[in-house]
Amino acid sequence: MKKFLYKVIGMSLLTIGVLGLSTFINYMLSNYDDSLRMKKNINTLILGDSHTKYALNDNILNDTYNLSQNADSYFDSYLKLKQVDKINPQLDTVFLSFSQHNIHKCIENRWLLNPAHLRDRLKLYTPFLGAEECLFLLEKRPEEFITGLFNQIQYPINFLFNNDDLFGGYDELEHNILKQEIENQKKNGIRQEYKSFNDAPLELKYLKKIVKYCNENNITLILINPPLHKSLQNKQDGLYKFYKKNFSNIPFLDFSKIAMKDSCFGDMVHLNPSGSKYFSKLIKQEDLFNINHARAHNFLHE
Amino acid sequence: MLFNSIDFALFLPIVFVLYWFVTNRNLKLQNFLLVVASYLFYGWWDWRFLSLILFSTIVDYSIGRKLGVENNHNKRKILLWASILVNLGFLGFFKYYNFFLDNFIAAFSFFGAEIKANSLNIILPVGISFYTFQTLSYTIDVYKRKLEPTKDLIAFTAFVSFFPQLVAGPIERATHLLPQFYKKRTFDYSKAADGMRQILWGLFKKIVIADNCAEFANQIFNNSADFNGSTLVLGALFFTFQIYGDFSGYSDIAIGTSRLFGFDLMRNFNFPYFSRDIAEFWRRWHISLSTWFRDYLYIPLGGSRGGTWMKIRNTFIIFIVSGFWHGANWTFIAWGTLNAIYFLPLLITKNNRNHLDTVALGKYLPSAKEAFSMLFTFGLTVFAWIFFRANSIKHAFSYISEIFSTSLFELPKFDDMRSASITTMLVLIFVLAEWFGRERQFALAFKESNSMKESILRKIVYLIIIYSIFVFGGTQQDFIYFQF
Repeated sequence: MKKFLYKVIGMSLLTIGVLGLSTFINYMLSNYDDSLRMKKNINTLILGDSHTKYALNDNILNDTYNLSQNADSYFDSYLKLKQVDKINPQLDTVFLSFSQHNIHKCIENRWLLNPAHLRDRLKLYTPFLGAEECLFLLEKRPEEFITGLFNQIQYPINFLFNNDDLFGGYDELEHNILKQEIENQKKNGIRQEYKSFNDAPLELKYLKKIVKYCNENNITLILINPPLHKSLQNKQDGLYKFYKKNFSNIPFLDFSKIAMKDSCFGDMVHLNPSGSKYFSKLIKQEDLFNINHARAHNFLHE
Repeated sequence: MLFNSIDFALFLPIVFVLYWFVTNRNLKLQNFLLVVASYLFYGWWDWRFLSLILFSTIVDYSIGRKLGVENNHNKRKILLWASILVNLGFLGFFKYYNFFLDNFIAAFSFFGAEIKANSLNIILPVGISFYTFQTLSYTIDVYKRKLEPTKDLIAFTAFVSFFPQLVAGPIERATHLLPQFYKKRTFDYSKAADGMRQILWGLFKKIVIADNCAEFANQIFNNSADFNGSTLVLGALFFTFQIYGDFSGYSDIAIGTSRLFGFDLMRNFNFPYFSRDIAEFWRRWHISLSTWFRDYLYIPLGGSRGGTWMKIRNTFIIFIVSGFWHGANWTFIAWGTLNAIYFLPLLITKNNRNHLDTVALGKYLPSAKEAFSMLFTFGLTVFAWIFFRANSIKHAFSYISEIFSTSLFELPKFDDMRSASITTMLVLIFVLAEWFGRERQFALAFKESNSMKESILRKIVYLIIIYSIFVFGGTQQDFIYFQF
C-alpha cells in the first residue's frame, strides 16, 4: 500500500510540478508578449467586448491601443488590464465598453459563467490570475479552472507563433445581417438584454475591481457606450439606472444614440467597417475622447 | 455521479481511504461501506430511484433464499418467474411502456380502429438495464443450482449496487462477482497500479476521443440534411469512435476502479475494431452483454444445436433482443437485425469461429488479407452504427441515401475545420495506440519493471495523457450507455 500511495502522490506532485513550471514560464513569457505591449507614445487603452472591438479603429484613433475582444467579460478585462498596465508603465487612460448587455445577467451566464467560454479564455489568461481570481474560479467553475490551468500549456505556442488578435484588437466586422435582425425583431420581439433588465452581480463585482484598480494606479477610467441601431437606442433604462446607482462618479461617454445610417451597422449592435471609420473619424476630428469636448457635444452622460 | 467529474475525483479517494484504512479489519463493514458509497454514487444522480434498486435487491435476495430451500420443481419455476417478472416488469415499464403504447396505437389505427391513450412522461432510471440483468443472472444461476443462494444481505446488496459498474456495466455474473464479496480483500500493488493505468486510459478514451467525436457526430447527425455525402461518412466515423471511446472508456474506468478495491470485473471490450469478421467483432464488443445473452437466452433457446432454421431463428432472436435492449426505438431493432444479417453467412458456412486469436499476433503490421478483412468488417460496423445513431429509420435511410449520392465526391465541410482536423488527428493517434497495445488487456497496460529508463518513459507517457485529457478534452457529455 505504501508503495502505491508513494507512486500516486509522486505522480500527482510531478503533474502539479509541471503545471507550476508551465505557469511560471508562461508568466515570464507574457511579460514579453508583443500583443500586450503598447507603443511608447501611446498611453490610452481601449478594453471591452465586440462592441468596442469593431467600433473603435485604432488606426484612425492612433493615440489609442484597442485590445477589446469578442465576448470579453469584465473579469477578462480586469485580468488584461492588470497585465497591460504591468508591462506598459506609460498607461494612464482606459476606455471601457459599457453597454446594457455588459451588465445584464443573461450575458453574465453566456460569457463569464459559460464553461466553454471560460475554458477558451483561461488558455490565455491563466498566467494573469491572482490568488483572489483563482479562488473565485474555484468557487464558481472549478472544473473549468482546473482545465484552464492545464490548457495554458498551449500558451508558448501562441507566443512563438504570435497571433496578433489573440488578446483582442480592432477588427473589421465580417457579417452583414442587420436586415435579418430587423425582420427577426419584428417577428420575435426585442433581444433579451434590451427587453427587461436583470443586473449581473459578478460583472458588477469585476467592474468595481477595475474602477478600484484604476484609482489605485492613477489611471483615468472612462466608460464608453458605442453606437446602437435606432431601434434599440431607447431601450437602455436598465443601463442608466445601473450607472447612476453604482458608477455615477466615473465619466461615461454615451455614443449609443448618435444618429447613424443603417448602412453603418453590420447588425443591431455592431458597426461595420464603414460605420467604424465614420465613428472613429468623428471622435478624432471632434476630440470626443476629451471629456470637455464630449460634454460640449452632449455625449457625456450626466 | 459521472466518472469524468470533480465530484468523482473527490469521492473516489475518500472511499478508497475509508475502505483500506478504516473498515479494512471487518469484511462486513467494508461491504457495508461499499453499499453506502454505491447508493451515494447513484443517488447523486437521482435519489428517488434508489428505492427501485433496493426493491430489486430485496426481491431477488428473498427469492434466492427461497430457491435454496425449495425442491419442488414447479414451485421453483414460479419463484424464478416471479423474479423475472418483477425485474423485467420494472425495465418494461420504465423503458418500453411508451414504445409499446405508441406502436399499438399506430397498429390499431392502421386497421382503422381508433384508440385513445396518452403516453406517460417517464424518466428512465440510469443503468436500469444493467443492474436488472445482473440481478437476473443471480436468480437464474441459483435456480439452475450453479450458485448457492447467499445469506449475506449486505454482500448481496453490494453485489447489485457495486458503484464502479452499477450504471453502465460490465454486467457481472453473480457466479463471478458475488463470491468476491465473501472473501477478505487484501491490497495488491500491481493490481491497483494497473487499475490506475486503466482509469487513466478510460478517461482519455472518454474525454479526448468520445467527447470530441461527439461534437461532430451530433452536429452532423442532428443536421444531416445540411451536409454532403463525404461529411456524412465522416459523421458516421466520428460516431463509431465516439461510441467506442465512450463505452469502452467507461468500462475501463469501472474495471480500473474495481481493481483499486481488490475486485476483478470481467473484460468488456477487446479491441473490437480490429476484428476480421462480424463474429469476431461480437466476441470483442460489449462482451458482458453478448455472453449474458448467449448464456441466458441463446443456449436456453437451443443455441446452435438443431437444424439450420433453428440456428437462424436463434441468431435473429438474440441480435434483435440485443438491439432492443439498447432502447425503445425501431432504430436499435434495425441495428440488431442488420448485425444478424451480417452474422448469418458466417454461421451457415460454419466460419463464425475462424478468428479466435489476436490479429497479427506478435507482428507490427497485419497481412494484406487481414488488413482487408479488418477494413471490410469495420465498414460493415460503421454502416450499422448509422441505424443505431439515427433518430428514426426514415432518418437512417435518408442519411444513407445522401451518402450514396454524387455529393460523396465533394470535399467534407465543417463549421470548424480546425477542430475537425485536430479531432481526426487524435483519433488516428488513438487507433495507433490501440493497435500497438492490442495484445494487452488495454492499450496502456504496461508491465512494471525496475529499469529507470522505462520508469521515466512511463511517467512521460502518463504526463502526456494527463495533459491531453485537459488540453484536448471535449465538452463534457453524458455517457451514451447511461440512457440504456
